Amino acid sequence: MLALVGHNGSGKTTLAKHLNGLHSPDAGSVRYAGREVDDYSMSAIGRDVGYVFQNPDHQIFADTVREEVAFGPENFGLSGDELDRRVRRALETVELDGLADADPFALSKGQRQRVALAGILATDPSVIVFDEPTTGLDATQRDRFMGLVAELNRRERMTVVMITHSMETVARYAPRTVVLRDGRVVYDGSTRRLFADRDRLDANDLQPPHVVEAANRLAAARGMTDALPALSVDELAAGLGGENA
Amino acid sequence: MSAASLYVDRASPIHRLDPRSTLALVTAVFVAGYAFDDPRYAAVPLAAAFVALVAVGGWQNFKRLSPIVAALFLVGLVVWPAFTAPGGPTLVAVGPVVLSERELLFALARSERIAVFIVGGLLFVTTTANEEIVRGMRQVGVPYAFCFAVGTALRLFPTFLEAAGTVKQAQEARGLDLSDGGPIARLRRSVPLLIPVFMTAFRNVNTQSMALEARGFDTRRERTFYGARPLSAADWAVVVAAVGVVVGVVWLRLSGYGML
Repeated sequence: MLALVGHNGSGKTTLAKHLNGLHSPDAGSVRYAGREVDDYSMSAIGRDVGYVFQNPDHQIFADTVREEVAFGPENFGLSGDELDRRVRRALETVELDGLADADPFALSKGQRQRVALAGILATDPSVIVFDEPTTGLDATQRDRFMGLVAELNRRERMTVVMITHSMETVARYAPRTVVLRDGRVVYDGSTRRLFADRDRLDANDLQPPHVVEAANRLAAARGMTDALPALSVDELAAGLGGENA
Repeated sequence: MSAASLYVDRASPIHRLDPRSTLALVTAVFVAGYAFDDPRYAAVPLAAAFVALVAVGGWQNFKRLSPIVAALFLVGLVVWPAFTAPGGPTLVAVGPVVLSERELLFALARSERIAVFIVGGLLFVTTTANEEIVRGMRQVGVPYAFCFAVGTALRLFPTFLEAAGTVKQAQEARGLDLSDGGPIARLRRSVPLLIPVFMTAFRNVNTQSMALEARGFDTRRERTFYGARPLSAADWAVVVAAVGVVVGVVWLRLSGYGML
């Protein structure tokens, strides 16, 4: 799972839209599975690289959740039992299987976000790109949504690229982070190393989450200058000799 | 050009005019475009407005709407002949489709009339900032509620286009292909575009109206305008010229010029 971070206007969404051919590069190249993305048809790349837009309302149009989720796979040529199976499985994955016949416009923002995700999952992609997946979700919805994404990454071996401003989400879920500034990659590496580098964080207007900040200060107070920070409360507690130590 | 507006920030002579003078100028263009049935006459205000639009930096704005203008002329050639009697030599006769010279000229002139409104309107919004449009309209006596509605619609138009672009990308990423098939199939496939675009627009309008009411917005109270200033000599010259154009056009029309 990879996080794409940077301040507003740094080029995160522009870069992400190159990954499934929504944008074409003016210079350089973007490759998927060894081939230029531009050489794929939109439907071929769309099948492999799903893109979940920031605002689910930019894609929801159908009368029922089931129809909405079936839209993508139907466009990619699926029908009959296989289509039903994919839709059912996608709805089960996002825990909306009880709402298959509901009107998607009547659902909460978090549920609409999950309908949008199910619509992409039903196309069975190898890569999913999320544009600010947790915007507008409350803490419970956010944890649930990101838990789901992490599960897809772990269990289904799905590559996840997420654009986010939430450093807590980055610390907790993304082992690799790419930092963009003014359209250029200024860091590509371990999230833990990024959060250990105060100068780099400051230079890119990034604020580490409280738990990382606390870990960094504790390490500095103990004279551990080369220590890498804990990225979650669990890790910090373990480091301090608490549970799971 | 700002992404949030059709206004192009330049220092052209039309930009420097008071919005009331620009309004007078554009009104004269509209009247001149509307007055004639002969496309050769109607083409004059259309060409003048187009040249002025390009000269003040509005080419990009025109490009955005050029498909509509092109469709206007194409659809007009089919529709308008039904509203006039045939006359003159027959230009096209393929099966049941017969197009006389008079029908063609009538269709061209009618399409030019509508195009004048589009190009003239673009000239106005390209050279006049939204708040200036509202001020200009209010100062010539248009009710404030209407002025505000026009200003808001113009401001939201680019946002609306941007949302439409995002929706198109979102559906294309899910395999929607709008490029092939006949007109009916394309129309049916545009449903996944239209519904999210309009739902997003309705949600935005609802949120904006609540935000306005929460700040005590009231269209009935009289407004003052920070940028209000008296008309300059150049403004008056344009107003007089615009009145002259209107009088001249009406006189030409009443004298039988520009008729089919």
